[in-house]
Amino acid sequence: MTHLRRELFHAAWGKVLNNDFIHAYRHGMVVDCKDGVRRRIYPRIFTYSADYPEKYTMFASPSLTI
Amino acid sequence: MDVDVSEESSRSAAAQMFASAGFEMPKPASEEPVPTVHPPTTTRAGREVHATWKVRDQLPEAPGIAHDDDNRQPAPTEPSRGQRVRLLLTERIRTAANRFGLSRLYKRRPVLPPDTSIDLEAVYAPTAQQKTPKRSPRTIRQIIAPHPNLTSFLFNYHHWVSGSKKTMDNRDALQALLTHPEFNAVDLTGVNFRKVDAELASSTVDAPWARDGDGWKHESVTINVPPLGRPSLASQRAAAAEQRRAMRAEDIEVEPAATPLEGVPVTIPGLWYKDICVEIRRTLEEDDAAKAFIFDPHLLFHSRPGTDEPPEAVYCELFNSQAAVDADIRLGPLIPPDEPGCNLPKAIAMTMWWTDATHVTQFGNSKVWPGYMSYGNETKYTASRPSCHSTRQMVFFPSVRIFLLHDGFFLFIVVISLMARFKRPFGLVSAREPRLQS
Repeated sequence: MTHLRRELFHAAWGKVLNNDFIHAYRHGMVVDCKDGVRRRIYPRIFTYSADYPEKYTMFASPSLTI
Repeated sequence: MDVDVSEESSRSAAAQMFASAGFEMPKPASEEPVPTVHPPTTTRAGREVHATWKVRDQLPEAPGIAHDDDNRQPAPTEPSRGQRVRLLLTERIRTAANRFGLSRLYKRRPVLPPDTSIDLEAVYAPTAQQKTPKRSPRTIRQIIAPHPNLTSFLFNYHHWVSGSKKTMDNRDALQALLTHPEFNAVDLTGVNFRKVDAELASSTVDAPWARDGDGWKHESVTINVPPLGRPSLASQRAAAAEQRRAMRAEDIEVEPAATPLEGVPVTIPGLWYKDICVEIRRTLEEDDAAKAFIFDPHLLFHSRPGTDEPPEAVYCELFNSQAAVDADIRLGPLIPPDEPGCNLPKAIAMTMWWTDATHVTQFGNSKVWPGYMSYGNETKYTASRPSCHSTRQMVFFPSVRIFLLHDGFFLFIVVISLMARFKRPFGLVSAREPRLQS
């Protein structure tokens, strides 16, 4: 069942990080920033915080293991 | 005040010394603001009491003027995927230390010069009382939904708010309703109030994704429930071949299993999300907070004045971190742009995510699993203010309950969505072979 939760979670993230995001990640997207500079913006994910139950959902590890 | 004068004179003496040696001494960021000196107070016993560090005016200050170390040095090379060695050239541009001894180190020339002045009034303006502009003002139709018109909304409102007893106030309210200029009894004909109540009770009306214009999308997620019984022969062969391939790096042909997806696909509704690119674009182009976003990551160093100790790295913000600087350099703002015909400066939108599954009711098992995004380009002093609305709600993961059902002969996996809207068992699922306990 933990496996199913993991599958569900990763499938959901697969939908969220869609093709538009992948394209922007590789090639950037041109944005007129609010400070007056037109930039080519590359989105990056730096941190991801989740609590312990979610962490073992993500990796499908049994609970109380690190 | 004596201290200031002597410091000033020593500084000018040092400047003369540097000038005679052919150097130009980095000037302090601003000559104008003289630090407010809190005179030590004297106790009755005659002991001098100095104000603490916190009490003295320690106003935030801009970084010093940038001066170029002008020693280009190659960063450590890193082999990329295709055995291609990419040489990353970095510059070192260091700003002079400000009064706090903080200096910035840029690994490339910043697109915008570091802010040389800080608007103290704006930084310290109390924001608690400020009314924040609503991001998407709702129309009346959206507010009264699912009521078809204003009259039916007023009518239903009166019905639910008036309470179960008849009172004088109740009569006054009814009188006010019937004489309301917007009340038109003709509008009430044919309105199915039971259906409206049911829609209101299903709580999808107030859901965050029900707001138009925020760009929420709904999708269903398909997962693959593995069979509970023993694996079929074909899948056993495929697994064995895969294992051998991994062990010996051999390429073994094996006929594919009859069903490419082993197990049973189950489609689970309830994934709501906003498009990340659209949200980033909207923030950077429209949000006022994006004016102060920092797109030139840099390291921050603190050197104690009057000592020869090597400067110490300061860990403060995401855009001060080594990871941000590395990612920025790896983007290659220094090498020619790899997008054809594009000379725009490259920058990173640094996103930080967090998720936390939450119970939404005290009793019962309704659960939501939201995911939030905030920007590392924004200084944490702004981002942590609740009134700035800097954290965005981006995702609602489908939250489910999965359990096993056993009817004595077959074993079932049941998937139930915990979101109120989809609260029914839609999962199936599967028992190819009975698994019996003896």
